[in-house]
Amino acid sequence: MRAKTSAVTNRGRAAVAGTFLQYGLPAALALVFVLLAGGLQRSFLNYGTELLILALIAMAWNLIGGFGGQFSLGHSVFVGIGGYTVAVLFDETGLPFPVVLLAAGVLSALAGVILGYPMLRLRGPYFAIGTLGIALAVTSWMLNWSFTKASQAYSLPARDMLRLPQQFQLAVVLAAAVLIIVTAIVKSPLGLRLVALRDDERGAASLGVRRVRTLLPVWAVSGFITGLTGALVAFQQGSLTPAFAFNPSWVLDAIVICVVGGSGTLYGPLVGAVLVFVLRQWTTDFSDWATLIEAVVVLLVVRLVPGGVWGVCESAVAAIRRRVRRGPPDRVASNRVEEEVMANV
Amino acid sequence: MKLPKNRLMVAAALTVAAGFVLSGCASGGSGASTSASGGPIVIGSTLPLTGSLQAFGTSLQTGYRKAVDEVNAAGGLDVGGSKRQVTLDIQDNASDADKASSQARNLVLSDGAVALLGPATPQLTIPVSIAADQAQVPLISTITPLEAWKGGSSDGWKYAWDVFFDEDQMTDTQYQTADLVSTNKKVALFTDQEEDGVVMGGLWSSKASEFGYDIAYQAQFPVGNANFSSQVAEAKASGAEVVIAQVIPPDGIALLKEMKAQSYVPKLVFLEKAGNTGGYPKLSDGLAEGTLAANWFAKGMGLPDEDSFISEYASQLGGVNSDLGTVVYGYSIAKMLLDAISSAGSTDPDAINDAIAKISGDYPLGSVAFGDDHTSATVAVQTQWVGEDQVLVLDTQGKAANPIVTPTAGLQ
Amino acid sequence: MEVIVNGLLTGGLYPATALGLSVVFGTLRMVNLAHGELLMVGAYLTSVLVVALGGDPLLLAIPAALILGLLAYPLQRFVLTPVMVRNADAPVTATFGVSIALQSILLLVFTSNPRSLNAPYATAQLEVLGVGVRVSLLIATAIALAMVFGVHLLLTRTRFGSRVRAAANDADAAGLVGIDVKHTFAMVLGLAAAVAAMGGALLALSYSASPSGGMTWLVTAFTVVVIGGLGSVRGTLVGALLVGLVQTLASRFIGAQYSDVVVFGLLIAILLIRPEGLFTKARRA
Repeated sequence: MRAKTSAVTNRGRAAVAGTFLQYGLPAALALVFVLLAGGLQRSFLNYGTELLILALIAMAWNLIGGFGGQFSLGHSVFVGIGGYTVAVLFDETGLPFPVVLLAAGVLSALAGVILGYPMLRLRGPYFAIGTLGIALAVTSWMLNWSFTKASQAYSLPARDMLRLPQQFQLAVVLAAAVLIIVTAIVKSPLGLRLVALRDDERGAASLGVRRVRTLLPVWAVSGFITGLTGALVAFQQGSLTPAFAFNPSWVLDAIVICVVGGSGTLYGPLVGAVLVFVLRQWTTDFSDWATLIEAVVVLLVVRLVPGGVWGVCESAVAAIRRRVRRGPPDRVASNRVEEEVMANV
Repeated sequence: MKLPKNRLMVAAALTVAAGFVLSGCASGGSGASTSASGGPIVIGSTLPLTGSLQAFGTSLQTGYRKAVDEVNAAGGLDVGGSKRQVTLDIQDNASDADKASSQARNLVLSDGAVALLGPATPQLTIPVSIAADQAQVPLISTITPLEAWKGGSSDGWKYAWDVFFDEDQMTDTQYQTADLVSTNKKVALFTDQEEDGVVMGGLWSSKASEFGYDIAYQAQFPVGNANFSSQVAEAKASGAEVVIAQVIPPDGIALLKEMKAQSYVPKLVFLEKAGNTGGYPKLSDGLAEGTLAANWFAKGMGLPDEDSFISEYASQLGGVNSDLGTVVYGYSIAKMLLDAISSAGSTDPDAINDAIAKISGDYPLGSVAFGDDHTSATVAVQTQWVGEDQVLVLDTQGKAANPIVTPTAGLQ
Repeated sequence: MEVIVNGLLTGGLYPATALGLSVVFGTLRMVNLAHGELLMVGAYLTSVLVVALGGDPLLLAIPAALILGLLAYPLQRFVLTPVMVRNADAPVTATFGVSIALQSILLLVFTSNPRSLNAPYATAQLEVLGVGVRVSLLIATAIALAMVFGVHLLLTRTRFGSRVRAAANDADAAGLVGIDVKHTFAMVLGLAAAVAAMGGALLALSYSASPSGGMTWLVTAFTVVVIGGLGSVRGTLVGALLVGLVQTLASRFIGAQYSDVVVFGLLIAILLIRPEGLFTKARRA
């Protein structure tokens, strides 16, 4: 589809430039931050890493939950698997860092496929509870498994922990990579099938979109990303317990961020992560009331701004563009159709 | 004509990115320079002021504040010849390990803390200790059993220190106390799956024979378990006259209710962890009356300043109980830290760290001297709930103190 | 034998704790993540009334239930229903927000200490079929049974019930026929909350309640409801007994530390084999 509009027309050139920006901008920004990491203020690196971890899990969840329409309550299991993979591999083997990181992602994805494959037949709340059940079952199991020290703290050896600038660099690189991957998936034929499946399963089926075959790779990628984030969490925290690594709060945070930012959009999770992070920093001083304030804010956003903040931005931009455009009605109409399509990505 | 959307996006992204970069490049945190140059000294602490560990957090806060206020009232802390005020920067981690770790880092990096005072329990203290070691800033913690804490570091702590009892000595006290009463030497063990439950459960099992006791029944269960019907039935059937339990407060109440319902009245019930909740007999509608719990403070222990702490805090804390002990311990480690800063003569974290290593002397929690593993052990005693107070029944020497009320009053 | 009786009685308490969830899901198709907190708030409300007025906790649980029901009505009407119509995911997040809000309120007002309800029969025992059983669990089972059948009759035999079922089946059509859907939905949550309050009081009587304990009970309630069938009130009863039985058997024969794994395994198995539960008509969508 893109090939037909490329290069030949102004609109085509703009579309190509848009694509270039969507992929190039995150990469460029990541490069900038990676290079500057050594010179940035340490508190900034600290905040940045925490913010990016939130954004990463949110983006991963958004892939299957927002774009895929499969509401997962079990994503915390991937954080835990990713984190513990790192802890165990560093402790038991001498594998180098990149291998360990990759293993965290791969094992999570694998676990996701094995555990999640039967679940993908389920829809809506059944899928939600099913994934929650899996996460809880795994957590209970981990509490008993002596190989991972059961409920005792499993700490990373000091030599294997990352220093703050490196944590930040890793977080930045991961975030940019994930954004690019998610963009690529969403814009690919797989992505179109995914969204079609979400919006109208019967209609999509009549066009040949197969449910599990479409959902499974997306679910696996989502698990992979979350596993990598779990590894990053392990590097940052330095010590894991099942209660911490598998805590439902990981997935619940991701859901809150996606809803606040805009679920099913490319940049909603990022915007949401920034907003939630800022809100939490701001309410630290009102300790008793902090969680209550956050809960009220979440309720307000869910009630009043259903598309999330990014959704509102997009509508605003589209509305502005409509007002800016002048011209013969038919060109306006076709512009609008294409804008609506582009705006939803 | 390019689509304005792209331009907008690029402009927005670049502005945001530039903003981040600029804010990141701004020269060093104001907090840090204040601490270094002669302004107030910032000591940070992330505490569980809300959430399940609230009682520990608020009591530690009271203790820390008391020490800092004392120093400030005397004109400030004497550091390298000049007297400087001390600022205590406390943040609430809501009993969450992730928040605790993050706040510990923020306190050092953004607020310029030169040293930290710890939270309570291994689940919070270990992540904070790791953060302290990473930030290379000294941290003194308490209300964290030593073995569990040591297990949280694979090659030893560098900047983190812990002052509390050792599980090994603590798990002797139940048997030593049981020796003071005549029983059939049969023990029923109830432990949950939290860290300390597992560690202590293991120690109690392995020590039983050396003290001449027999573990007639052992039950392990997840935290939050409410239904103890089959476990209590089996424990009762085993004829155990001594029950040792390690449970969280709500589970403790459920366990006691089940025991009462099944008319299981052991001679001694040790309710560890749950029993360290202030006012537990009242919370459990009297069921916990007469239960025992290991403690770190009690009247008659022979600690310095025992009576003055009791008269100052007992009424507001509802009696002489673990919360009071936590205040004493919090005050003590804060005092230790302040003394270390003073003797280091500077606010350089490494100098303070070295000074902590050299601490040796008596504080309200007892005598302190750190070993190479960065721990200093205090002695656990056994206390029994009598009304609103936890009364000393086994002293620091392992000898009898006040008489033990047996069998367990609340279950009769 | 003793294990079985105890298991059934443990499970007997569960319908009281799970009924509210089942009703909400059956009619509103909403996963109510705040359900655990509703149980806890019910327990605390009852406790407050007991302290203020003195008297039997179960009797005072009734006004507590009414109060909670009344509070839940505007919540559903003005917050949750409008959210429900927009998209399928948002209500879960909204109920999660409510859950956190309720938890923080409980912590602010009552601190983190557990609370328990007491009565002479709370810790009494009775001999049934040669097995010692807790009187409180017998009472809880009786009340739970009464509530289950009461709600079942309400939903199947009264006009209100038909309105609820109509609105649940097809909200738009129900609206066209003149049913005030917003009001009906709000009544449903009010009913669920009232039932939850009684459930919370029952569990505080037999066990205890704490501000952070909601999550554990929520999970048990979900297991019960899924096994019995989301939306089937009678299914909740069977699901509860089954879960209680499995839990106690697992606890006795494998060890309590694995009982959770077994129960969740059962939940997953049911979802994979017969997701609509044991009592809902099979739906092949």
